[in-house]
Amino acid sequence: MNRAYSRVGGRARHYQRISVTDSVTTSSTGAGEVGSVELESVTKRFGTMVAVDSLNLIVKPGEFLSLLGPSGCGKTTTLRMLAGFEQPDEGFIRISGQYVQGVPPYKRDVNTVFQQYALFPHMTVAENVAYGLRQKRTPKSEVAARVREALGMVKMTKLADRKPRQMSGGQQQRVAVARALVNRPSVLLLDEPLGALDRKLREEMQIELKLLQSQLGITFIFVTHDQEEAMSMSDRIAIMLDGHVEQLADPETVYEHPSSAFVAGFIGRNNFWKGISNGNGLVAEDGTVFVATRPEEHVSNGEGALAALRPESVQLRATAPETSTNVVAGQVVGVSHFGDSLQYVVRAGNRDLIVLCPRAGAIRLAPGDDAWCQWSPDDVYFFSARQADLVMADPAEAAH
Amino acid sequence: MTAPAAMSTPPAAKPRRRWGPLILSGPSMLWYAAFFVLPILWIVLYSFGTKDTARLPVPVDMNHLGLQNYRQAFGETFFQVFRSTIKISVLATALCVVIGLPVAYFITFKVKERWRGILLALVIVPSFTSYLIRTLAWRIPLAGNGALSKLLQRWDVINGPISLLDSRGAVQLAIVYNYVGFMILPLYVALDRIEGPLREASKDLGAGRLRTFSQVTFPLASPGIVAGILLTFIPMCGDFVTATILGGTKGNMIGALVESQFVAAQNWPSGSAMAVMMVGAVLVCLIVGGAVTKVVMTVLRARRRVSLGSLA
Repeated sequence: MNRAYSRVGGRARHYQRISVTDSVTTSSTGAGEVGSVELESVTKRFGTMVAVDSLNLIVKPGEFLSLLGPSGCGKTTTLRMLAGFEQPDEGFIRISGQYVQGVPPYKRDVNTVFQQYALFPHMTVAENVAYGLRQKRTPKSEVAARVREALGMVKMTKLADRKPRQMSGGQQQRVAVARALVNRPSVLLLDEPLGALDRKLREEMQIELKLLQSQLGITFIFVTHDQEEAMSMSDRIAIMLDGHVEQLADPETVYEHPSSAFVAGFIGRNNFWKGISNGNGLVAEDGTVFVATRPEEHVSNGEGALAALRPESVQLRATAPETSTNVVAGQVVGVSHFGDSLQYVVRAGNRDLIVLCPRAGAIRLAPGDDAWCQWSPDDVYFFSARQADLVMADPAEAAH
Repeated sequence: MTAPAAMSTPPAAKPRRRWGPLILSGPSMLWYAAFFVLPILWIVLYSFGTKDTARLPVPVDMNHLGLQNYRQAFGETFFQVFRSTIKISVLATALCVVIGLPVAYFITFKVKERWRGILLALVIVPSFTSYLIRTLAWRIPLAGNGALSKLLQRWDVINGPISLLDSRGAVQLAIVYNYVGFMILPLYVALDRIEGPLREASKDLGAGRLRTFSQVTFPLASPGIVAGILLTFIPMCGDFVTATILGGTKGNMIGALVESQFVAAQNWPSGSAMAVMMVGAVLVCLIVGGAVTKVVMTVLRARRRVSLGSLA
């Protein structure tokens, strides 16, 4: 970690990040410090449905951590347990080193930015932001100063006297962030806060939120189903599936070394092949031979296996290469322009293969042209077949 | 705007837009005018006439108009009944809020969705079944040898038999029972419209249950409370069935008095004058209540206001 997030002494409730060198001295994880969050075999059931399944997770103080996963993976339930809206059926949660079992939401040192903002419609922007301070009986003069400061952080001071319904979604979003941050929580929980915004606004808010977080040094736990959002903002990403963490790592590791086929399929896009392991690769069902130099999971000889290949790792050629390993022959069936890159869809046998070429120096092929796809053994991910149904549920759909 | 642009607007569009709603709402407006506004005006007119039983079926002489009916009505009996009517109605409305709000709150927030409809039906359906039968049914437990009296005697709460029947207490009790459903329904609608995350946001920001209720739930439910008050208080003031059946002589209400003037005494002008005064009194009550609420709300809002000072 090149960033020195540190909060010196007990409850460091200052906005300015204190940049000192003795960061994280007690332990490498920062467990127990103000702003840390620990979940230990946390389980939450709704009736017979297990929403969170003995989840273990340690969030470091001052970290921007994303909970990423498809809907129903338990990410929102996890966040709601941290906020105190749900109680875990089993396991323990510690926030800033304190066990929070049975501690109601209003007594926790965390604040939430809700998905639909949840601004109080009968109050002005300033009154909304002041709400948390008033509950703590903060003196009036201090309330005004802190509301002004918080609204300044999100550039909303001018609209202080507006009612929520007089504002756009993006403006409401900013107020919601200010309303949470004004309380100076140790941990800020964000429940898909950008989901309702249009793409351009969402990207602006991503940058602003990230800046705000690094300025304040507050732990951010950010729930999202958007992998690009998680990749661009997070220090670490916890990819969740069926109520547990599938992989917890920084964005680069998650992308470069996905721990499972599910992660490889969820982060970025991948072309998947199912086949039988032959030691240093696999023979796919359609006969394609894959040679892999870096298996992500150990698969014994003769067992079912999956090979994954990123669209940008594939090289497209108009002529047949000399070798036949790591090569697929097919026909171009689609071309899409993505601005900085070109995407080809190549039909090989009964499956489609997605190929992404940088625009500069990209080979130009038209639909109907014969094409050969070739790739390096270093780019082949190699997994066991246990999650085959998850990543190849519908081959036709997965290809588009 | 340039001239051609202005001219391109078809001239026929405007009048059509203006008359359309009027034409569509015309029949119902006529209906209300003929069967609601007109009869009320008639009552107001009758209130200035004199009683004349020779002119049946309308025993009113309109040749000698005057204020004599109002002068007569301003008597001791009338004021006593008038005061007790307002008292009973105000207290009953307050009780309806006190009873209705927790019930509506419970149904909205504490009950699983599939039970909500059933519970709501259990509250609403009785409110719409025969008013007369429900009121008559109260005579049984309230009688001196009735179930309530016997039960209280068995538990040694009271020594001799009590009779709540034919008293103000009986009217008070039954009128709350008769109208509480009309309070619960609008309250439920108002509470149900409050988005779930709002109450969670309040708790997240450090407000406990009570403060969340007083600062978020209650203010957002206030339109429902106002609707509920109007739906219960106004008909209560005019209610005569409850008072006639359960009130006896001690539990009289204006509605019953007006009814007796019209039906028993055949004195339409006197009944009309009382009715007009009652309508006026209800309006005054509502205006005073509204003004007080407004003042309280303004004070509360001022306390909540956050001034950012130099930036304003």
